[in-house]
Amino acid sequence: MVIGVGNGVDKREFMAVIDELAELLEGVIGGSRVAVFRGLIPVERQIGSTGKFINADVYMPIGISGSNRHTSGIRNVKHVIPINIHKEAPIFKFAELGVVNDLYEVVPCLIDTIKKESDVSGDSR
Amino acid sequence: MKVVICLKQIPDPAITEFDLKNEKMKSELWILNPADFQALEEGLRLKNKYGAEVTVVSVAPERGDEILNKALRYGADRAIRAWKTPLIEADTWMISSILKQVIEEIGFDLVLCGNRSKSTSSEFMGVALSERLKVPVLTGVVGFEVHGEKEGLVHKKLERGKRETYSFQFPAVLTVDEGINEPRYVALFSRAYNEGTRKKVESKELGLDDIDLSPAIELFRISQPKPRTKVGTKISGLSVGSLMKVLRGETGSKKELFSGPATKGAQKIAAKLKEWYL
Repeated sequence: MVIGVGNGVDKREFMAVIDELAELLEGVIGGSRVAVFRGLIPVERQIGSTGKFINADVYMPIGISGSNRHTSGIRNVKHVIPINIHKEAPIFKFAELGVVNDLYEVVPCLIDTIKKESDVSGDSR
Repeated sequence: MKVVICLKQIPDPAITEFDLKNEKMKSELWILNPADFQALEEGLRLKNKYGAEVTVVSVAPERGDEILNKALRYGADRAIRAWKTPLIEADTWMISSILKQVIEEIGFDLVLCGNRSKSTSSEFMGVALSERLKVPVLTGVVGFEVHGEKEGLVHKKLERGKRETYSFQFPAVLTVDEGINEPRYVALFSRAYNEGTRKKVESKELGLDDIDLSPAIELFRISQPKPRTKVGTKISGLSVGSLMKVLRGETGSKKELFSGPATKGAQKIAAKLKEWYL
């Protein structure tokens, strides 16, 4: 499980929320070049043609539009679940389930939902 | 031999756009319809060979003088532009009525038209004219020869290069397909050009009562083109990994784009994650 952050995440404080999500899902955080420039992630975590090529089962790009430079790094990912506010974003071409909404609303809701479900089933994931 | 050639002035298809809102062609440059140009060339060849008298006719407002002058410079003997002032939205049947009056006044052995115009391409004018003039019609002519005084042979296209040949007696209407000949080139200020510039286009204003003014058909609707849908996947340019995915049938997964409230979206993601992890 890899979570990717991109240009859509323009508040640095929000990284704490994404960290929490990554912990819940037992995933790691990567991101696009813009996220590296913003200082959200270290340069070793950059995904794309100038960074790493990942082989994850699930990739969740949050606020990533999906330029060719970035998506070339996620060709071997099995399932992609992007969250993006723009309906025409090219990342949705790779998506198995795409959510078109504001990431600042969806990600906290997602954390709540997962927490509730793990309470019921006792599964940490 | 008297040859009448019907010309049409069309908006240049290379730059014309169709205005869907007003249902009209937006045209700035008007040209001679290419099929009509080749009909003109066929008539001019008859003039060179048998001394035929070539008259060009067009139903057009004043802008139509342009193509008629061009026909004169190419070697036509007479040019007649017919028009009736309130005639704006005329269909082929009405225009054929005007053409019939003009052509009957001149007298004719042969009427040559282009097979179809690049603007409306109804392929109807030649047929309508033959009905009005009560003479036989041959459509889609790709070869033409004259035998004797009043007899001609016409070649028509069949599939795979086969040809059928018809013989007919004058007078008749022929509609000429594109590719029957290569139109000649008339150099600027050559002799033919200078002779042509001296001739004048005769314009005819027809009376109101002469033609029946009711169009037989009416434009009902113009619809937008449908968006194209992609079918199937191209596998020739794929890498080995993605090719294996296609062969295993993994790319055919159902995609879902959810655009609703955030809470529902989050629930959907959670459900999917659970599905994959359990």
